[in-house]
Amino acid sequence: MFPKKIIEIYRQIDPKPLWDKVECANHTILSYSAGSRHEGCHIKLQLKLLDSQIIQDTRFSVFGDPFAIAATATFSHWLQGKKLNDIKTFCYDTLIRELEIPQSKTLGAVLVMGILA
Amino acid sequence: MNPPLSPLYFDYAATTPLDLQVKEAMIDCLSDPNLMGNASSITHDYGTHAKSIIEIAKADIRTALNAPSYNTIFTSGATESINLALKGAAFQQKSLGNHIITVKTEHQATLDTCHYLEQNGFDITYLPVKSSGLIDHDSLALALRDDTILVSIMHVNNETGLYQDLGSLSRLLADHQALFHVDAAQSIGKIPVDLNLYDIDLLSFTAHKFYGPKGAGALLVKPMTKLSPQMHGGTQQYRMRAGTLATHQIIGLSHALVLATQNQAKEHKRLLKYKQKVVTELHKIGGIALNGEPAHTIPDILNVCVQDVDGEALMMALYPLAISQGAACSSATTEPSHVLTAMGLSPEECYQSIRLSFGRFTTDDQLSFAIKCLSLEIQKLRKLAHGTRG
Repeated sequence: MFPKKIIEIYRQIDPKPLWDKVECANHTILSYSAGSRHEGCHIKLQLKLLDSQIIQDTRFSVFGDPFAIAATATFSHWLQGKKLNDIKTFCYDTLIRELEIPQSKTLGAVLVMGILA
Repeated sequence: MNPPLSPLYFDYAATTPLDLQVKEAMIDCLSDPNLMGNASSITHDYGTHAKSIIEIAKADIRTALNAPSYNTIFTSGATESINLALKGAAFQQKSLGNHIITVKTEHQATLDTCHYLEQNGFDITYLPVKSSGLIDHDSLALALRDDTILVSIMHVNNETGLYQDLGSLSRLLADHQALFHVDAAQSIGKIPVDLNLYDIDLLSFTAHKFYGPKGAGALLVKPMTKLSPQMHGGTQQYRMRAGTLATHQIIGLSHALVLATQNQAKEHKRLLKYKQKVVTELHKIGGIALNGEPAHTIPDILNVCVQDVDGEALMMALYPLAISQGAACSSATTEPSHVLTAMGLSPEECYQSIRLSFGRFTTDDQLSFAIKCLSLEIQKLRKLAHGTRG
């Protein structure tokens, strides 16, 4: 049985394609990747910047367990509207606590929180 | 698509709901004051009434499995039956040898018991399987030694639904001293199990896999076969399993077994149609591989590898359905399935696999809903994993 919170986050996800090169040409888009399919979790994250500082929008792809999906979606949503400098203050413990991720299922949360490092 | 009020059940391989007829038979038994006696107390009517109804249950079980001469030992379930069969045979036969053969894809009840026996000085051979999941009979023949005392093989695999050919396996073992134990937990009521056709010494099963109560199992023992008891404290059940018999559980088991074997052929046809329908629809989505040789799997169990989709994520996405990735007894671990690994699947393919199992109460509407859910969620998770359009 998966926590209702995790199911609810998944239900609200409307998968959007990552921005391609043509779309990237008109905006500042930063792309990040963490993990691998072989490890059981692969996350890609894109940040669209406004004035090179504020994160206007985000996109992500994620292959992984339900907690990895929920962690990626939550982090991606949290980034929107933040300044690039501010996001370094976010600690992954917060995400694990917020989503009540069991200790054996933290891979996705750890990967996504470290993706910008 | 509105989700149902409670999840639709597609995990019949883990357990089955109690059939109403079985429930009524058990309630009748529990409600009858004449049956309250201890079946071992044959000095008064209460005991002899309980004993006589248990004897009727035993006769029903022997008829259902075409095993007129076999002794029936009632247990708490297949795990206990397997423990008794393996440890009981191993310790009883120790003077004849210490080698036991089993298969890498067995249920944890067998594998863990074999590991225990290994720690107690027995030499265990774990046979590999082919990519189909089937045992290579040549490798079994090669593994047999003069000191082999027991061969334990499951009839139907609980994860893949793949069934082994008991006929050829028992013929192969016929001239050898080794006892042949079959774990039939997943086969009874799903495919024919006829002990008159095979040379089997020990057969384990449990009622809750065929709409009987949980906590009721049995071990059928060929006449003259002796087992060292694993439960001490009385002379019940041919001195092989001490303890007062649970009359109502035994009644539940025998009723469920009779119903399951009576309906087996009809159910087989119905569930085969269901399985074929799901497989056809899944192939339309693409990127699907069936785990286990389809020609050798029972219709009740479907195990599929869904490419580019994490199995656990798919189970979460399919929250309106009660499904699993494999054995309920191993669901607390995050290790890839030992069954699929033995069949040659990579860890990635194991993690992308899920099991759906159908049963007596699965309906057309439930199946259509499940297919819609599967189709929608597989596509959503693939979009999410790929990060591409379409």
